[in-house]
Amino acid sequence: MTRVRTRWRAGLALAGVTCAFLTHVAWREARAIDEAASGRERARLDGAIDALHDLGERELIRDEPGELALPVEHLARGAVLELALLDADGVAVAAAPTPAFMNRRQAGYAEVALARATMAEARHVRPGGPHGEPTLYVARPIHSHGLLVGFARAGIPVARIEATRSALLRLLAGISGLALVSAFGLAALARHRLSAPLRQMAAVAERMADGGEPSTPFTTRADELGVLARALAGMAGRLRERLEGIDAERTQLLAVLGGMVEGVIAVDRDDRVLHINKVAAQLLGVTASTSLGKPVWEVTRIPAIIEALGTASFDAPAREVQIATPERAYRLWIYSAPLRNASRKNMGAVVVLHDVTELRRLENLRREFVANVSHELKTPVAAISGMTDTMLDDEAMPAERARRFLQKIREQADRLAKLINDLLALSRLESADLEQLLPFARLDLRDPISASVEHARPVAQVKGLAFSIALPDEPVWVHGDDESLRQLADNLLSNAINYTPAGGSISLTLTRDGDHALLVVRDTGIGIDPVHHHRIFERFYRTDKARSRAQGGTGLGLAIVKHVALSHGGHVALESAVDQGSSFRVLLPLEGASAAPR
Amino acid sequence: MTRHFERDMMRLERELLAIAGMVEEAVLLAVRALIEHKVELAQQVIAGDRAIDLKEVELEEDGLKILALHRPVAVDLRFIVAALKVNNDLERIGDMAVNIAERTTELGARPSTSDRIERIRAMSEQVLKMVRTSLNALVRHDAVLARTVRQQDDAVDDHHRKMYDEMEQAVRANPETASEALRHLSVSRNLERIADLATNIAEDVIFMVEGDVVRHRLGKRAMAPVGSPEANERR
Repeated sequence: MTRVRTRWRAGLALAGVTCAFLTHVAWREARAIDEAASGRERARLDGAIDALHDLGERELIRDEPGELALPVEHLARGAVLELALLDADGVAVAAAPTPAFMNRRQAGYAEVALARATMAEARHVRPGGPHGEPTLYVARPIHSHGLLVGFARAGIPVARIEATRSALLRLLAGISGLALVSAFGLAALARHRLSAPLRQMAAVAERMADGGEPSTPFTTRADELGVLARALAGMAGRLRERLEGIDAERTQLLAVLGGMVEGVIAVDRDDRVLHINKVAAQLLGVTASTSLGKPVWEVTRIPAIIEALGTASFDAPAREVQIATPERAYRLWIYSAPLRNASRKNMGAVVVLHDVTELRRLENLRREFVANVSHELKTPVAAISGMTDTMLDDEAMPAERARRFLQKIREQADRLAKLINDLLALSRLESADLEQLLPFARLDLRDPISASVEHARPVAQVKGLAFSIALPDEPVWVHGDDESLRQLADNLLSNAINYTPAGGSISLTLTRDGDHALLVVRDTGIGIDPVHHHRIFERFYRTDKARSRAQGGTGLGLAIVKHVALSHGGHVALESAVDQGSSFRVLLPLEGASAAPR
Repeated sequence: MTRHFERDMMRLERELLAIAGMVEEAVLLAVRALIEHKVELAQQVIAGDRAIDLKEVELEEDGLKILALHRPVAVDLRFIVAALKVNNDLERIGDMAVNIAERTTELGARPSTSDRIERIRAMSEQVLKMVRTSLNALVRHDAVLARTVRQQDDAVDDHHRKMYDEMEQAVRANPETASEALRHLSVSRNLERIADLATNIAEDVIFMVEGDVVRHRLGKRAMAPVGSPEANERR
């Protein structure tokens, strides 16, 4: 707005100066004209008086003046004045044009009286003429040969001498006003023609800066405005392309970062968070949006991450660290690198977090498993080789003793075989499970269970255990693998038998529970301390290593039970306490049912 | 705030949080080493204490330097004073963690058979939570969060008292377990001390934010939320 006001002021100043100049010139012109006009009238008056005077001087001295009326009338008409020639007494001798001027006694008139008194030209202004307008009367005494012979008298309306002046002034005012108005008009026009398009362009540029996309006006004009407009339009187009390109890149980058499995945190030189992706926020238990812009040490206290960011360089080795959130403990693999801008200056650092918890856990499991297996395998093998060595060394061993040794070797070999079988079974289950290759068929659950029961019953009896079975009367149809289910029942029953001292009892019941089959194997044996419950289904886990190995257990029985249950879409649960027996419950979905709830 | 002052203050806060992170990690590791019987982890904790001690000294010097150079007032002064106190408390927590780690190395890799491990596990979870909450309150300058820490201290004291009783019973029943029991008791005491120090840190945060010194005020009034009936009781 100030710009416009300035332009107004400039226009005003220009118009004012122009006006003042014009007015001054016109004023001087008017005065000159005015002077000229009134000068002419005065000259006319004086000329008429002079002529009248000369006439009077010539004729009034005679006793018989000549014909004066005509010359006086002639003069009056020529000068457009009232004229009168008076004798020495002030009586009109001749007058023109109006008859009123013929009034005979004119000596009383002021100018005549004054002329007579002063013997010089006298003037008087008083109302006169046909309308009573102010009139200037002049009287000049006429002398001839030293004698006053008369007066020359003239009258002229005052307005005639000044009329030109006021008319001219009105004209002058009119011209000035016109000049002022046209100056303003031209200035406004110029302003409009020049600055309005510029302001329009400025408005367009502003809208572009705000992200709008108005079309540029004036691009087709041939003058400088058109050049400017075309340049602006071109710039707008190129800017838009670049911005779109940057936006697209940014969206891509964010999508890449957002879709990564690893967590990414980027900080600037002041250690403020530039970017933190979803996974990183989850790992650290923060929200990405509230962490942006904060110093990184307010977002996380994990020393390893802060150090990694602080010492980021391309050669820094990755480090692994354990962190714990209230929900779980993680192992994170942390890799950091510096952030460099286009001119290779350090702008900050970025750190990548990889959750290797599961990886390490599996590695640990595998390590433990291998250690366990080799230990389990070594023991019977060592026993066998020990005993065969003894036999080989002692050539004279009595047959009975030899027989006992061979018996022991047989037992160990059996044990080894059982272990290897169990291992194979478990590994088959696991790999088949992974690829879902187990040969499932529709079968009656009572069949594998009955088979297992029949196998276990004599063993229980021999040990002096009460054995009770309860199976339903109708078939219990499931989708499964007969062999695995037999193994499941076998393992549960053999555990029950092994861990229940003589005089105790074992019971197996198979019932329907909603759309699941429920198999419960209960014993009154030594029970399992709740401390071990969450680990007892692990491979080779034993509550008391000494006792269970002595009984020939492989440590894999329950692992197989759990795995069979899981691969059939069911699960197994345990209730037990020390010296209060154990109860294993296996839930399996009936055919047509969905997987069992956990 | 001149730029130098602002930069020094930021550095102080960053270092304070760095030592907080180190101490938090030490406590985590010490607890884990104890519960999982991992002697190497315990040794890691013991070895890492030197860095914590060095950092404490460094931080104290930086804090005093700021006080001398910039002579801050009002909220800035409270921040520095609180930071120096929290710094000391953190270093002491670090020492407690070392104590726990030493007990772990003495106990060795033998798994414990007693229930006490469960109580220690529960206690240490509570203590870790208190430490984490008080440090979160410090980061966020959140006095409301800080006040919740004191309420959790009672549960820890309760655990510790029960440990005493259980110790006594266990040793009476089976004098063989005395050596293990004594070490468990020491761990419990150290955990209880860590909880107290976490409460101290929370009190320092309240001072920093509100200018109110709530130490040693009797009972619930001190840590009650502002405006609650307990806070308005006459002393």
